[in-house]
Amino acid sequence: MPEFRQQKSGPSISSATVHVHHQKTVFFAAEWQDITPVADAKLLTIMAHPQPRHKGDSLQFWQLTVSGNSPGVGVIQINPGPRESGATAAARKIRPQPAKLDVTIVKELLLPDANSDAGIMARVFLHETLTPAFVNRYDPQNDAAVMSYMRNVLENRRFRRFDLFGFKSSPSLLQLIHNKTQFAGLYTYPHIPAVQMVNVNTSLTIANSDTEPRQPQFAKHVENAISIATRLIANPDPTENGLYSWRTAGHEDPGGYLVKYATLGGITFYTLSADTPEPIHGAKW
Amino acid sequence: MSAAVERPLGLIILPIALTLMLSAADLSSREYFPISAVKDYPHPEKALAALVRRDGKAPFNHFCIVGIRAEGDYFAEVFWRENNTLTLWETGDPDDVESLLLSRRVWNLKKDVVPSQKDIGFSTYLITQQEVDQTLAACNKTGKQFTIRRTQKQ
Repeated sequence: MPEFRQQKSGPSISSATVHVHHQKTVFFAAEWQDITPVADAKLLTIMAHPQPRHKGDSLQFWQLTVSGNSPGVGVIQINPGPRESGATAAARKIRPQPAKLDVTIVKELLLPDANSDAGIMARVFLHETLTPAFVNRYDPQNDAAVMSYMRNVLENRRFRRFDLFGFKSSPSLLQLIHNKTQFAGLYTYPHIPAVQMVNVNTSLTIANSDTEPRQPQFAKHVENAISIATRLIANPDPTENGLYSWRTAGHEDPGGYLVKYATLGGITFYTLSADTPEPIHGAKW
Repeated sequence: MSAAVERPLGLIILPIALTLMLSAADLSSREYFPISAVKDYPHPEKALAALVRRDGKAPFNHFCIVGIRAEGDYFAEVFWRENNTLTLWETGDPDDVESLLLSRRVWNLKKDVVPSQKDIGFSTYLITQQEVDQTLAACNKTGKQFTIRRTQKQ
């Protein structure tokens, strides 16, 4: 029975995902002598390379290099080659059926420009939230909500009580995150050592991988960050006085005017207490 | 202009309220335990070796790891003597070392520690000297010590 495999010695697969402008390798195994691959060239391109067949091997393997050309859903059909037709009429009657592999070609996920507000926010979200690598702790149901709360914090610091952060008028997002000691490792943004950006880069790499089994979960995680960061208007702040900070859960509360609102996705969010002094620089809520 | 007044009400995230947990992050309520007491950290040496390969400079590196229960959850913290850092180690995939390399918090104990709670202010990451002292004392008492030799970077 002809079959497709991710790895030569792995289990058979019925579908695969490849990113536009990326290449993915899959294997095709059959008792055939030669093959003719067919696919919609608008969506993808295939190159088939027969693998050496040793004496006693029951199957012939072909390595298929699949290149994504444009987003869409396509099919790779492997037809038996001419030599499978057989020399006699009887052999031609039992010509094998083509084999098919469903292929989804997806667009590469890219973060917004690093200097744009959306680009800064997307990177803050990916830097600060748990990734799907934390299988026992990552909460896909609340991933977007955590990022949404983070956007609330950033916008409240910019537009509502910027006076609490030493600003006389609404700062830019860059000014806000350059405020030393506020956000870990980000005060030199966008010039940040690679080790500080490891969560951002790892999430993006796996989200765009054609071979990583966790790709769908990471793609969703990155899509959440892009979606929350790029939407025109933030989700409503769930608190009356506004969310103003977060800390990794289980660590000491900041105290002062900050009171705990909720812990979500391993992050504790804080709102302002009712006795927080009114703005002193004319800032309006 | 306030962004708050322009937000449409239809964008409210409803399921969040069901999952909120309210509790106090009080250092006195913390409990410390050896990481061998939970199944989440089966290969600490491998994780530390990967960390040393990536961030290590000294030929021999000394670590102490302690588990911490707080707010109804648990995690571990890793003290690295040569780098003078404390690293948050949340539970990840027990079979790989990625979770330590992907830690969301690595506190530089020279730069990221403040004298008291009021000095945290609005910071999302600064920690108090009391929290550090308490963690290191608990690590000495309850935690596990490791020495990792730096090998060729891969």
